[in-house]
Amino acid sequence: MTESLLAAGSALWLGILTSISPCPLVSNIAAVSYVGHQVGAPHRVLLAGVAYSLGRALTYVTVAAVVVASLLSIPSVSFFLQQRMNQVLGPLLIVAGFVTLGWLRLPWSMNRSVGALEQRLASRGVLGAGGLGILFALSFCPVSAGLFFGGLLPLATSTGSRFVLPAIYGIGTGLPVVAVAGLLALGAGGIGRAFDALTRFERVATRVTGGAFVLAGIYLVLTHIVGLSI
Amino acid sequence: MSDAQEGRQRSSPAMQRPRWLRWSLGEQRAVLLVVLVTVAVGLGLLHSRSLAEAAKKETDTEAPTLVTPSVHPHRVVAYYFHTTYRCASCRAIEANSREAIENAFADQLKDGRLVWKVVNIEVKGNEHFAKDYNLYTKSLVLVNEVRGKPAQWKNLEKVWQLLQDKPKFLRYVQDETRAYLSTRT
Repeated sequence: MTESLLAAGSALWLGILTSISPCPLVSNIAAVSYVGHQVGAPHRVLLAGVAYSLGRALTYVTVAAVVVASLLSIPSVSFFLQQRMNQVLGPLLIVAGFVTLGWLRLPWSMNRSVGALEQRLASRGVLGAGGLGILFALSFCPVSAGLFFGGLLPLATSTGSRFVLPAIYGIGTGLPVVAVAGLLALGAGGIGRAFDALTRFERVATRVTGGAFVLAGIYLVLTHIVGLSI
Repeated sequence: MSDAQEGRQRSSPAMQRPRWLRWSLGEQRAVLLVVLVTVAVGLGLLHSRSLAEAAKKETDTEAPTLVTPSVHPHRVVAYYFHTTYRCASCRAIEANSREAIENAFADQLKDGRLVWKVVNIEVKGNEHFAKDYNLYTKSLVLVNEVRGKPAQWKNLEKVWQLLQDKPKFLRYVQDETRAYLSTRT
């Protein structure tokens, strides 16, 4: 029992350690701005945060399962996720940012009725956050590769907890992001309410999200496709 | 304000935007195209510049690493393996590892019993290191060499966990290196 708790604590700590290192800072900023952008609805921020963490957990559980079952070797999975996923993520974030800013409309979103659009907007925050969690966790950086493959997997294998520990690790990697997003949303929501300008605040927050996505995308393109050391 | 009202308001952002932002779809696409072309040209220019710099560098630090034969029958090589993309944590691990080794083993480094090598595994000719030492990220690896051949090796995986605690990091690297130096193979 004590051993299991200790292992769970270690997995959570490894996750937090991954999240607070400077390496995933760019994707963390994008995640914070996305999870926290509905400043007027704290419960939605919370739900989006939970969905973001669960998305991350799902990715790590899947990667662990693939590696533990020896379907693919650790080096091949790790280098693929570090190189290719970041190369895909950059352009994807730029497009997502443009869509969020309203500068670009996706073809399938143009001929929807207002009712369908409303429904989509309500569910988009939570579902989008889950998807973002899956995607951001898939784009490994050297720190997450070092801590996940070198720290967490040996721990999960030695304790026989090959499903729970990667899930706890995933939740740990989402915790700091969710905490910061929650605090920012509460603070901004409070100021917005005080000045009776909540809708305007939300509009600004959505623009910040779009801007953060575009900037994060450009950074990833520069570092992982162009090959600049920034 | 009800959720439905909120949603309706957000669903027609064009109505709420200031006049200068109320672009037609055609105008939006034109702006997007200009932005993308500008970014692409900028990236192209930066890319050609970085390629030129990389080519210049390749002649010295980025050259494939050949393991030079040692005068000692037993020596330890401390490798820091990295890729072309370098992150802040990776640079910190390299700097801390170097500091740990240079501070504690100056004599061994001088007489060749210990060697410090920084290797980019993405440079042509160095790819084999990833396979040789089962690398999955930037890594500090100690290799025991007997008569010029690797006899055993250890990936110091805990460097990632100890990165936030420098004294522990230095002690960990020094203890492991000391143990390898004292190995009789």
